[in-house]
Amino acid sequence: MKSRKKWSQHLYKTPQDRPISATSSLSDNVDYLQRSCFYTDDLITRNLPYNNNKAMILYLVSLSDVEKIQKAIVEPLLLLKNCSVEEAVPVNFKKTNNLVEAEFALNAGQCLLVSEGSETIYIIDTYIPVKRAIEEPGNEQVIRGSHEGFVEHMQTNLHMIRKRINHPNFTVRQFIVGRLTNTKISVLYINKLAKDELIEEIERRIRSISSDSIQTPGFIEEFIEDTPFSPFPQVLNTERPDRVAANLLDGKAAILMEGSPTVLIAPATFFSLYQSPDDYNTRSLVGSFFRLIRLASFIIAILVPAFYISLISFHYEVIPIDMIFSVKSGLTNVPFPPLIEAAFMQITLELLKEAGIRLPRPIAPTIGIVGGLVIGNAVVQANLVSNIMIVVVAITAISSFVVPSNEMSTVLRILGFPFMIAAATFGFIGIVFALMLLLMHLCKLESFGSPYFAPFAPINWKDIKDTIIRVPRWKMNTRPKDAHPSIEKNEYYSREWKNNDKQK
Amino acid sequence: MINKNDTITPLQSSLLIVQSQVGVGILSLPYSVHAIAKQDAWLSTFLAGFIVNGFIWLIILLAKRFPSQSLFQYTPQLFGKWVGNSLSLMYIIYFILVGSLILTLYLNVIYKWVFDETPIWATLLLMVLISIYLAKEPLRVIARFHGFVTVLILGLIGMVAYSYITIDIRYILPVGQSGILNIFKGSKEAAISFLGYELLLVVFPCILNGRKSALKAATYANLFVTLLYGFVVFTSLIVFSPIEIELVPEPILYMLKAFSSRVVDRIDLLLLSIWMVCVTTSYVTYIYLGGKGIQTLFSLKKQSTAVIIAAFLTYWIPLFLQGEVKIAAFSKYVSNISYIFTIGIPVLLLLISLVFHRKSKEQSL
Repeated sequence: MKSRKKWSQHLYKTPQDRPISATSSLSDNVDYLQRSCFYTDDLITRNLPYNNNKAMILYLVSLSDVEKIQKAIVEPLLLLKNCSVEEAVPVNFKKTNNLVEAEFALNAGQCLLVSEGSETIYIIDTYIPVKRAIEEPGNEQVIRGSHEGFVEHMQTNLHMIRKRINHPNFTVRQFIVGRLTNTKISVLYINKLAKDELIEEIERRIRSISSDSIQTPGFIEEFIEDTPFSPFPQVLNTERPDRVAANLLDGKAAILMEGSPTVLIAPATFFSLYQSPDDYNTRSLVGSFFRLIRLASFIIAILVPAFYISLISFHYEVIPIDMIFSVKSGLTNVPFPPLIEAAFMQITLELLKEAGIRLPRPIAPTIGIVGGLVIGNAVVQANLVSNIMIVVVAITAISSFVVPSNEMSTVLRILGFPFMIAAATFGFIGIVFALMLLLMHLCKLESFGSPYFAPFAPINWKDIKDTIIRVPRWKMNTRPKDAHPSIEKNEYYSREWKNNDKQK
Repeated sequence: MINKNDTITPLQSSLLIVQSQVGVGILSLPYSVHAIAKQDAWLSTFLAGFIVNGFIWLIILLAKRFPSQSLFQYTPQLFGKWVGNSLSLMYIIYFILVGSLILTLYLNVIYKWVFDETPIWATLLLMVLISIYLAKEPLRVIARFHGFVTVLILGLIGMVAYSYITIDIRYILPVGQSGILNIFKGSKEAAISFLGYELLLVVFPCILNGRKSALKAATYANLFVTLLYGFVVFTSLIVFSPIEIELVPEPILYMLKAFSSRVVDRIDLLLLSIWMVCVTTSYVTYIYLGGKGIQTLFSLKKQSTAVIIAAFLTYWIPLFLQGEVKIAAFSKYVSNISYIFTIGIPVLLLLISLVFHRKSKEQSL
């Protein structure tokens, strides 16, 4: 603890450093500010005499809105004589006599107004955010429902969430982390609904971040998650405001970061990674069907290659007699053991996928030709891989892409490998043990104090309503318990009209 | 004292007991009970379940007098340090012996049915390592796992029910032909498969609202296990003729081996997979109990160290215990001493605590 304090104190300046008070000499103050920025070339200083007093404004031209400075600071001060700064400047400002604070404000795109004979420095808000248009996130598309996605500007993102939850209990807490990057992050939750302990725990973990830089939400995730070496994501990543709003309404908390469209939601459960906003826009029967398909995809992605390997290397007798000949005929010419075959195909697939992401768009179709024709067909003709193995790997790949969460889909494909190895060494028993190990791991995981594999471990029948199936909304009377929300009921009797009908 | 964080709900405790009870014995239960009670083996099974419930009642009666302490914590209070601790040590040895019995029987079946060439130490090590991974966790995590895999028992019931295509009810008639005495003797044989409920001695303080709910939870669990065992034994008795069943040590596997469907042949291998999970859960329970005892007795800080020691101790016996005769003798021995530990000592403790009015003071410790 001691060494940590030392480290943070002596490396870089922080806004919390001991304040340095401004003097009444204009040149001294400006000199300090310029020196503190090491005379960086995008620092603009300009003389701006007003009320017959010498004064200067300083701003970073790269972050500040020059037009706004012109309109809101320079023009009023030059035109309005005998008028104080408070009266003349029409935009938000703050006063300080702490040079350290002024220095950091300058670096956050604010404009400083320093005048002769005064120790007060005006910090005037002239920051201009550069943002792109709101688009649908490419990695989380839906068929029906909102097509908005987060952007790199936090205020815009907050706007998108706030317009979905118009309630005074919706709370935003801001933190600044990273001593060099000074990244703004916000924790969002609905007060009185999210459990206090959860919010305290998240805030405690965020406060303990003591790092030079926070560049992506992935940094925050790795700093605050419970089990860093688990393959499963314990925080939900999303770029969809509707998904964030839905989770906030379940009593969870969201973490936004300036400069990234990805929002973290904590606590996450295994099944929350399998929910998509699409499910709630389709009829409940259809939604349930999709949920079951996704669950099946999890089992298929992990088990099918392993099952196939154990079948053809240990348990031939399980294959029905009519099928055994076709399986055998495909295998006779292949010189490799099934594990090598499967691993070869899986790795090829990963290569194709990775190449598909990196390739520039105009030459992307090449991958389709190489992957589909050359590898799919030629590999079998060259007797490197059996026909059925191609089918198995293809099914595995497709089902791993069914998961709505991209991290999870990669996890699925990675988990396939240990299962294949277990199957190749111990057959069915290997698979059973690997499955047990996976299940034990899932039972063990906890995300911010909530069991990860809820509602199955621990079993809670009530909460299955929104996991492997999706019951109609009017049946979801209570919130899922995994985030321990303080208010359990979320729906009373919205279909009361039906009863009224009958009574008439 | 029990960590407040480490409580389980009554439902979880039920499932924990179910998973600890259902284990290695279920495969050979019809065979071993039939060997004594003949065609009335199913009556013996139900009777055993009934008697075991009495044991459970007594254990809970004892545990209720020390609601916030485990067996390892209150024995020194009852008897003083030396006698109490040696009693704890005996329990630890008992738990480890049952653990190694589970491993031995498990290996026996695996080598008969699936592998015959894999080295024993490897198969064994796989099981032990995976179980340690779970058993070193707090009880609530173990309860989560045990609770979840209980779903598999439904699959087991379904598979056994599959054999109802070829039954002959006349095999069990006339009911009661082997006589009351043999039925009772048979239930003694069946009771060994019910072992696992003695975990209440240790985990009782972790059960939420244990004083009120534990008895109900344990009774439901035992009822479920009794019905399951009764169903399995009954099915085996009406599927196999009296002469056949004497030849098949694992009747359930044999009867499923005979069937083949268009999609999967050898359903018995799937059943074996489910059975393996049940064996693992029972084994995990015992090394957890043994580990907990070691931790309390030697005041170890970490549960994981204690569990690893317990698991390591169970690892050796199956390695050296080869051959049907030796295994049968070991099994017989453990089943005999199990009566001392599941009913003998608890009743003694209960009597002593009643006579001397020893009860845990809530604030003590």
